[in-house]
Amino acid sequence: QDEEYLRILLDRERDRNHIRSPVDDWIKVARSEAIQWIINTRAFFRLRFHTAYLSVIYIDRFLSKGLISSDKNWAIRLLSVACLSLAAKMTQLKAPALSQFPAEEYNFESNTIHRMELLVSTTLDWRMHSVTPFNFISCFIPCFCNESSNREFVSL
Amino acid sequence: MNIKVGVYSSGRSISDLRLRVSIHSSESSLMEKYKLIAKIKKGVFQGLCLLSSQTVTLKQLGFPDNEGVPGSLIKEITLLQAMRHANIIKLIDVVNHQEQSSIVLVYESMETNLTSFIRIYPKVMKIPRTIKELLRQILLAVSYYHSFDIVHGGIKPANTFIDPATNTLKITDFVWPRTLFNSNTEDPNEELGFCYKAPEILVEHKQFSTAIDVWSVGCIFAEMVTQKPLFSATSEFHQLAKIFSIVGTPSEETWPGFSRIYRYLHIYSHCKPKDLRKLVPGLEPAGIDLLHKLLYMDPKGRITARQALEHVYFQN
Repeated sequence: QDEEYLRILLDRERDRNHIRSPVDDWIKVARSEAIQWIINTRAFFRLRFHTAYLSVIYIDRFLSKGLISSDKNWAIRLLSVACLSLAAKMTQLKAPALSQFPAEEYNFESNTIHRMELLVSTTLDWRMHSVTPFNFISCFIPCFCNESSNREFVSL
Repeated sequence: MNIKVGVYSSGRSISDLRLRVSIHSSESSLMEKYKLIAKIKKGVFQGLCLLSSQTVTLKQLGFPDNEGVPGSLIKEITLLQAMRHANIIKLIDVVNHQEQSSIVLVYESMETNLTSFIRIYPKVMKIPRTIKELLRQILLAVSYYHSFDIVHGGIKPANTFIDPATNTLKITDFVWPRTLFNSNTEDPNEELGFCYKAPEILVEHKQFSTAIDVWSVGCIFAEMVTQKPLFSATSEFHQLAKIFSIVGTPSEETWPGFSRIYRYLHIYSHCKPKDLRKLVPGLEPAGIDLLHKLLYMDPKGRITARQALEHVYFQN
């Protein structure tokens, strides 16, 4: 059963769009700032690590389409908020309210985040089930521990 | 597609910055890509894809609150996108609409549902091989849903489409009924949907499993043979009594623990199960056996869609 699950995961992982376009330097900087914000916000909301990882995949997939054309920090922050919110909705039972996201120097209205969520979902063709390493962990842990009950204790 | 993120600044401090995400592709693209032909029911339209000249079904979904795209919707559309099965209506496109206050799901369209198919082709439906082939296709679709742990929750003849030229069957309407089901705002005009609802749904709305779809398939199976609904009650309230009158009122033997799930069981008079061979005349013995297993009262003892496909009824 676990082998079948692994096979499906590998197929899905192979299937995903790779990021091909050459990346500008400003995007590299903006991306690492976005990741830092996501790491902090994950701790703030006590979201799962899996959720944070998934949101970074969304950001990379979105950025690779080259839709954000120049140095627009607010757009990157709005993208981070929308991607983390979408990832939380995909993986958590209860996602944080849009108004609670700490956007710091930017003050995004819920309506703006909502639009960005839609823009991201549409741009990613509503394929929000990206495979992350966390999907594999629950399969691999029993192999290392020899006890299937342990898989529940790992914080993901 | 031409999507741009633009900023409209009032020119004051950064916190005053008013941001607008303008999606050039969205507002116009629905009308650019599709032409509306007719309204089918609230939020559901028949349309024409201008690119491929293909007829499509358009379903408009609004967003209930100010919390962005609902999580349940994101998950459902993601799953629908991933689903590819010959017996499930395909989701072709997802389009933003009306300033992002709603989205439109675009499905491939089929004209004839099972209800009208039975009415138009009563003789074709009398052929045992046709019934067997259609039932097999319904079960293939249902077991595909169930392999994703998805409960359809609204399988009925009106959602089951058939191409009369090839007898290919496809089921649809999976986002709608389930979302409505969860929010408990089912369209009251929805055509007799309760006739196909499993007993555990009628007594206990919160707990349901993939077994509820199997029950609906059983109801459709009987209806394909007799050409009328098996459990046709006048209202949802009477539906349970109707089911008991045919399959028998549950007891500790037939459904352990049922009296604890359903406090009002004592209201119903005790009925013995009727002979399905008499109620569904013309169905071969193997078919009657399968029907019994599909319409097994206790969901825990009910056959699964996958098991049903291996039933001896399909062996010849």
